[in-house]
Amino acid sequence: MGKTVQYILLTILLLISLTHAKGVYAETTLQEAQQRINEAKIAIYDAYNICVEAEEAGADVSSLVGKLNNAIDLLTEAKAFLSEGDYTNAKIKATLAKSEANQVKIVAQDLKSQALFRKWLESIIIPIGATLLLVIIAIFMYKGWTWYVKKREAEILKMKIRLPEDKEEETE
Amino acid sequence: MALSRHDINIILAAVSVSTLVVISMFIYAIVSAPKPESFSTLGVVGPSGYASDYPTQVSPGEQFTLGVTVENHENRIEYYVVKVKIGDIRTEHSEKKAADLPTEKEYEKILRNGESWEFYVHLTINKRGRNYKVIFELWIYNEKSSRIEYTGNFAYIWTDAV
Repeated sequence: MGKTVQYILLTILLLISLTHAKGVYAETTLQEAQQRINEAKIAIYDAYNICVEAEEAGADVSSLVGKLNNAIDLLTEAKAFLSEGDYTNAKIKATLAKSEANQVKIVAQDLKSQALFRKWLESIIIPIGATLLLVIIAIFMYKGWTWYVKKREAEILKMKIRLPEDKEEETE
Repeated sequence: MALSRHDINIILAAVSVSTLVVISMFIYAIVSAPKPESFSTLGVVGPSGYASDYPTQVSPGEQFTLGVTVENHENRIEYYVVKVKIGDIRTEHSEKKAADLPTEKEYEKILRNGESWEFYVHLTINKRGRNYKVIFELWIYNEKSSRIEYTGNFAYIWTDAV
């Protein structure tokens, strides 16, 4: 009889501990899923910010927009799983969304750097090139003018003074 | 042939004048260039894609469908959020103030400049009543403030749940 009571008590204790353990497990997973969703959302916003900066710098971010939209869709799915109580799938989808957004972030950062470098190069090359061109044009104009003046001087020096007597001689 | 001091001065003067002329032309071109207008559009259509077939009457608890179109003409990529709210004849909202109602559904997408986004929204009104106002609001993510902000663009339809 005593042993039966002990078994019953042990069973009750085991059931209580199992229920309690299950509760803790469920709560942790919910927190994890929510945390992962928040992280994914932040990652998407960060990636978008860098895409905007890259586009402003002159980069083509068309392909990145598509990937970022995939991340948004995955996040939407994660939220749907969360509202259904499927925390595991919510966490998986949110993790995928975060990973996709982080990849976009890296590529966007790279595109931004390239575009900024191109912009900087253009800002240096165009004024230097324009100035050099102007200098060359100015030198050519000056040289041309001096050549023309000298040629004209030479022509004048070759000229002879013709007197009216010379003209008469010529006619005779 | 070596250039004299006088020659160099002439060249420098010519280059300076030419540079000034070129820079002035550049500045004029930049300042006077017309900037393209930037705007976003939001439109709502019926389930078959036409504005004429709005569901003016729905059955309580029964799903009905509406089509939504968003267009980006902001001359840059834009992060759009469409919020769907269900109000009634007393619901106040304008271009400056979004409707103070809970969001029934929310849709997000990033659009490139000139791109449009078409999607269908499936809604249900559970309570019987007249003059339900189904409101669609266009919000954007502002990267400067790091917040979702109301653009002032909205569209709505009236429907009865009978």
